[in-house]
Amino acid sequence: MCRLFNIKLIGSIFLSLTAFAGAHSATAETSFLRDVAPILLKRCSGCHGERVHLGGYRVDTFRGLSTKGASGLNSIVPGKPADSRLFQLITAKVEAARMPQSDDPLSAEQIALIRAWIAGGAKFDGSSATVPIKSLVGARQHPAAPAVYRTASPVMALAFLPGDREIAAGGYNEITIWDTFSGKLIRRIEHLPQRIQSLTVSRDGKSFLIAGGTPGEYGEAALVDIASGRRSKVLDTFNDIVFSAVFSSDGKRIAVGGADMSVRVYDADSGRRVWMSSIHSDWVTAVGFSPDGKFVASSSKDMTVKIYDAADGSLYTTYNGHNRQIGKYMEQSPVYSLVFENGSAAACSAGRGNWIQLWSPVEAKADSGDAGDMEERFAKQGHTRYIEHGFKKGVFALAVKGDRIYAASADGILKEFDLNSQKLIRTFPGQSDWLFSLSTDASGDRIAAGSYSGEINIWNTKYGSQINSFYAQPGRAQRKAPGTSTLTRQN
Amino acid sequence: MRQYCVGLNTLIFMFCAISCVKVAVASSMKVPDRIVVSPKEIHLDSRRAYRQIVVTGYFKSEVYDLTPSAKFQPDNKSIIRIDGSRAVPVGNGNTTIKVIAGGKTLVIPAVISNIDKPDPIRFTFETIPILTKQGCATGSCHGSPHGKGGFSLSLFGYDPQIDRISLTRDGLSRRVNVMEPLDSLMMKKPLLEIPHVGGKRLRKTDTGYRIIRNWIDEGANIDIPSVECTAITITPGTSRLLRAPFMRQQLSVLASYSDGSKRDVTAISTYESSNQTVAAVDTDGLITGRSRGQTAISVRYLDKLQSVNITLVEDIPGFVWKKTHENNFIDKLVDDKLKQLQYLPSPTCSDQVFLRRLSLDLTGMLPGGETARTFLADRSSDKRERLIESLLKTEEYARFWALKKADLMRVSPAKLKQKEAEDFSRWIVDAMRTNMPYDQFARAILTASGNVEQSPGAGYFLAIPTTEERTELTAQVFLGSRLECAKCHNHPFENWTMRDYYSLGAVFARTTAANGTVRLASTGESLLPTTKEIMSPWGFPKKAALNSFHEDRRTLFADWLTKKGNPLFARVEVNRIWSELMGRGIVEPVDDFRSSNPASNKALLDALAAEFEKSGYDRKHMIELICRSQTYQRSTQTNRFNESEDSLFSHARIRELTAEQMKDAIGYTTRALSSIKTISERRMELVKQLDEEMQKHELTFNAWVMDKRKELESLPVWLGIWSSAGPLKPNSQLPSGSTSGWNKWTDILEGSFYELKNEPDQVYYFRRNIHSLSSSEISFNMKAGNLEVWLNGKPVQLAQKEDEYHVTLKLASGNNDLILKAAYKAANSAFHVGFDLPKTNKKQDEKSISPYLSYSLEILAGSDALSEDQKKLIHNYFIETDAAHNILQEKLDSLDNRMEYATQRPYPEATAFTVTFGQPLRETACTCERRKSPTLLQALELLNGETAYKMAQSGADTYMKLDDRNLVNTLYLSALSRYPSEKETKTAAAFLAKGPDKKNAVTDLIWTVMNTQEFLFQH
Repeated sequence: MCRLFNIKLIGSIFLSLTAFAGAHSATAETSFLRDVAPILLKRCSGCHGERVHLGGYRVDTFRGLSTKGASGLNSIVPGKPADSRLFQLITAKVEAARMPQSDDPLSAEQIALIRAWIAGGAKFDGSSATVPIKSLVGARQHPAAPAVYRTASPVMALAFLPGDREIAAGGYNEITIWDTFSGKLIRRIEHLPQRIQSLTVSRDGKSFLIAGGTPGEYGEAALVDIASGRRSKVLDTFNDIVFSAVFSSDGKRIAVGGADMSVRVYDADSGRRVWMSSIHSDWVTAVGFSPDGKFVASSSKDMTVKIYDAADGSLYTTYNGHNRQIGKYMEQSPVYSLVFENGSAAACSAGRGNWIQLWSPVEAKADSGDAGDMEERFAKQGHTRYIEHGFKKGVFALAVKGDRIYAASADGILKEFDLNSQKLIRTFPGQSDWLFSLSTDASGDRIAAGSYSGEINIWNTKYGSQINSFYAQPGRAQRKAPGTSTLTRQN
Repeated sequence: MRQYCVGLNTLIFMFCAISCVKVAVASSMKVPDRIVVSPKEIHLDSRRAYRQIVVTGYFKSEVYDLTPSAKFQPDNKSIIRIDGSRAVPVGNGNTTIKVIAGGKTLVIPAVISNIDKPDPIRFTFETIPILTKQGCATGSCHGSPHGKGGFSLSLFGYDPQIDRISLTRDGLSRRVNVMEPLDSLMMKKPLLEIPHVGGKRLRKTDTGYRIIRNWIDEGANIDIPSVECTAITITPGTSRLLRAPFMRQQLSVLASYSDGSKRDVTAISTYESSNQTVAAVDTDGLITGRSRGQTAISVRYLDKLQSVNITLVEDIPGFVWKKTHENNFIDKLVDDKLKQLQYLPSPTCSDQVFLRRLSLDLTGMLPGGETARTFLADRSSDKRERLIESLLKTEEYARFWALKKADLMRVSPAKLKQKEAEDFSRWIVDAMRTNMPYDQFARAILTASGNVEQSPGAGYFLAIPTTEERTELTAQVFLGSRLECAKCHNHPFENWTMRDYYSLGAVFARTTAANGTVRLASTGESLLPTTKEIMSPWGFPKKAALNSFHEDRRTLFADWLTKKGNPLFARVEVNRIWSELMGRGIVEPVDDFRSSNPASNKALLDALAAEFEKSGYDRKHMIELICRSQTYQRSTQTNRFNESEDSLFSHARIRELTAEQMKDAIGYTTRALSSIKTISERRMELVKQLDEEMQKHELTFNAWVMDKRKELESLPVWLGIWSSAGPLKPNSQLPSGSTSGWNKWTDILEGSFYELKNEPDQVYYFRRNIHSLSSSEISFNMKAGNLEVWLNGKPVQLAQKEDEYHVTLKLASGNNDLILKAAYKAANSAFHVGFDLPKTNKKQDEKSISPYLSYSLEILAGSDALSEDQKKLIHNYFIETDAAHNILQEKLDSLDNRMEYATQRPYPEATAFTVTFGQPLRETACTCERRKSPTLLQALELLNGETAYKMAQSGADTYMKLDDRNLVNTLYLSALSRYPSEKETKTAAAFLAKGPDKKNAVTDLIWTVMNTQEFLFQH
């Protein structure tokens, strides 16, 4: 027993010497933001972050990083790694004391980088020591997509390309482009956010507007040049994944919303943020511009749709039709999808409830009234028109073309309704897993839906027949005849 | 560096020294007679299967776990290897493992197969248990009804259907990442790689890490198989003893599935210790003892929950067991436990303590000064037994113990009508007095039908109108189980499932309780909310078809409940009795029986339950048995070997008097209450006075009748009592004759609304006698759907305004007969009528009596020829109008009902005083509603409260009549059931002699004694 212990001891001394040697080999020009911050964010900020800060120590801002924790010892002593508490702890020999706790130690390279940075004076190359380091790091460089998908990835975004012969789908760190008719993979645009939740083609047909990210840690909205396949402009980064990004109908503005609960509007040309609003109390699931460009609307898991003045982001009104506690159209449901109708400029919203609700922002404001008519307001139904969709599990995507509205549901079914009569026109054949995305083509002849299982189904809207069905999974042998589904019903 | 090495060497030396000491202790232990290895053979049929090995050593009468020190040597390491004490497959084939422990060796065979076949993680059987094990699915985290942070799981994985969607598709499919499993939120959050409000829940070394990672890696498959887990088997069974050096116990958990397969789930089961100071348990099911005592280790796998009771024994320096006198089997079983855990029991309490304790326990009252004198003077050896016997025969016993039962049954005027509460509680008192066998008592309550008069037990259902309440209350009262949780999900700490809840609900689904009557309905089912499946009532034979049984479902349940051998019924009741007498249940709380809350002395509870069953559920027998035991008669004084002991009954517990006991004790001590022993004397006195009063009035009765009649006839107008016939079909014959077919509406109030049973095609007839001195006119308004009116047999023309009629009647001189026929529409089912009487002049007003007559007076006005019944009614009315008689009668009733004594009334009045002292309001069926811990408010009430001081003041008058020595003696005997000590006598005498105002001094003395700990507590 005693002998073993000694051997271990020698081993750990040896290891720490190696680390010491490694430190010398690192360059003196270490950058905090480039080299150190990513390590802190990935390995430390879970326990020493904004919400949880164990040991009274937090590394979410540079000021926090340089402040003493509960131990009262100096976290960082510029020029002296061995005197810096942070460095002592990441290199502690006793596992119980070593950071990160109950986890793998930092790699020798990471330790070397931190050592070199402290030895070089622990210089801060960011703009502000008090803003989250996360926001200083900037947009991530994304890895290449996997050459072959080991399994299908959920299709959370879809868009037909100009000419309608090709359809783009949100993939894993990429956009995949498929032949509408043969289902063959035509092109891959890689080095994009891990998940693409929203995909729109610009009016000039030259760019994709994408939104996505990594759940729980990173979000991004960007423009991608279709010809070159490069990110031409990153509009913004977010603390959590982004669900929706859309152009205004004149193409001059862009609205973005996501899991960080904010809604942000940008100038499409300059990429400058025009305004930002954080008044939702849960995820923003979809955003939209009214066809006249006056309003921006955002649907949310908080059961409301908020309408803003598109110019400055001031709140115009809140639509509460998805949170009714009395009356015929009673429901309390998160809202997952929102689109504007072109003709009458009505907003169409749907979520976990039983109805697609068609309503106008102006009349919604009138319906909302003031505090004095509260009782009356609860009693009346308002001006909203309701489409009873008959799904059991709710609607995650809506698309409008002309006087038709298409609704894709978690039941795995796509339905078409007439906007004027609110009647069901057809249920498209072929059932799938939960449907999360929808796109109509420019001609209006085709509609495509993407599902959790990675399937893309394309139908002819005139006849209601299925044109194609394939898995958006690079490397997978496509094997399905149109109109069939081999998916075992799991949900 | 040099210094560091020296320090380290010292450390190493110390480490070795500690290990050496341990080894020395271990080797001093006897070698086991034999060892047993579980399992006997190892079969691993998958690359991921493993088997936890448990090695048990048998040492003469004791059994200990040798797993932690055992050595395992596989014969062929290319087939099987040992990881800790788990067998893990390496390759297909047969081999053996040599197990060496305690100097003995045993060889077990092992068969490994399918090592080369894939075995993906099974979502239902592995992923879901891990979510529970890591704490994700607990009630305070994502298992709460609305989840946390938008992520919701079913509580402890009771519904995989919810979890499968939550994990994969909900949250816009953000939680698992099949492309890069380690980048899933389901990994990063619990690993705290990114912020997680729930903190770190997963470590890379956890089995759960591997399971969740692999499950995602394999495609996050959410298939739910048709196979179910049917049982878990835990080695070493239900209980174990730990004693140094055997301070550890390895558990192994084997799950059996409905397809016949079995798998070791030790690594993915969840473990919890009910008492961490006794023993802790780690995530691999290794129990480590910490200090002397008992704890239950609960083991959960999916919805299966079992406990292993751990008793940890330590040698206490200086402890020597002294044999105590054992009065009956109770003492033997209590002492066995005390001896094992090395607690030395306290000696027998003194006579005065015993008298006061027993009297408060059995009757709720202080024994009384006279009884104390006699008992203390008694030199016979069986005087305690005789006292127990005699107190059990008293009326006070029946009433005080009925109060305890009435607490649970919610007997309260807030829940029942006054009359119902009275009848129900009288029945409970009768049951206690006659010592009704408890199975009959339970059956009478649970199968009661009709109203409280016909079937007093019906009060139970009348107080709890909903099926949910009946389910929960019945489970709590008779099964000692808190079932509320199982209403919405499987019980988190017990094997009660949602199915059980609704199955018990089905028992009561066809019982209605409305308008004071319990009825059986021919329809009504209990549906499982999740599947809408109709549940078979609890107690139904398993194979019986649901509709083959048409009788009262409650009967079968009562059969099941009261059948000998029911695991809970007898145990729960003896435990309640025990708790009432000892101040703590063997299972505590008394209505929380569950395997994770074990009995502090299982053998004792089992023996008591067996005795209870054997005696035919004789409660008095059990009370007598317990009171006779040495255990009951122990002193509250502790010694150094039992001062920390709290649950094994090595000493009596000091208990504050209950609210009712306190009220009566103060009342009796201050003489505000007379001794309960004087009740019969006082009663006889009252009866005599009442007789005299009656005789006096008999002489004036006839004259009164004449006067009264005259008075009535001279009134300008009066209205008789309402009577009604109906509901009837519209074309039915009106009841003929003047009274037959008509029912009195004795409690009707003029001008009030009455809801009538609203059934289509039915009419109601109402009738009233109206007397008028001369021809006059009166009018009334009535609200009804459709109305017809006859006065003295002739129809009256009506004017209707919406649903309100205004009617004017021309009265003839003398009596007038008014009949109304009202048909009710759905929206108009209220009956309302108000008369406008003609204006009278002032003179007539002066002599007028209330124009609305009571039924008795109406008889008097009717005719000269009164029937015998009518005469009796008039006579009673005459007697009742006499104030003196009423006061006497009230006194008598109050005495009979023992209204003065709070402990003697099954539903005592809730006064500010009693509520302060913890009187329950009977809102729940929990004994915990009666607060037992003293509060600041109580202290204030006693020290400064007006009630207490005023009572002491009034008591002074009585005490002052005695000479000082006698006064002090009597006060001490009354309040404390003992004589004052020499010192107390002296101090008190000096105090009384000193003060200028004797009354003040006596008041202060009484008040002082009342505020002593000795008075306020039961010892």
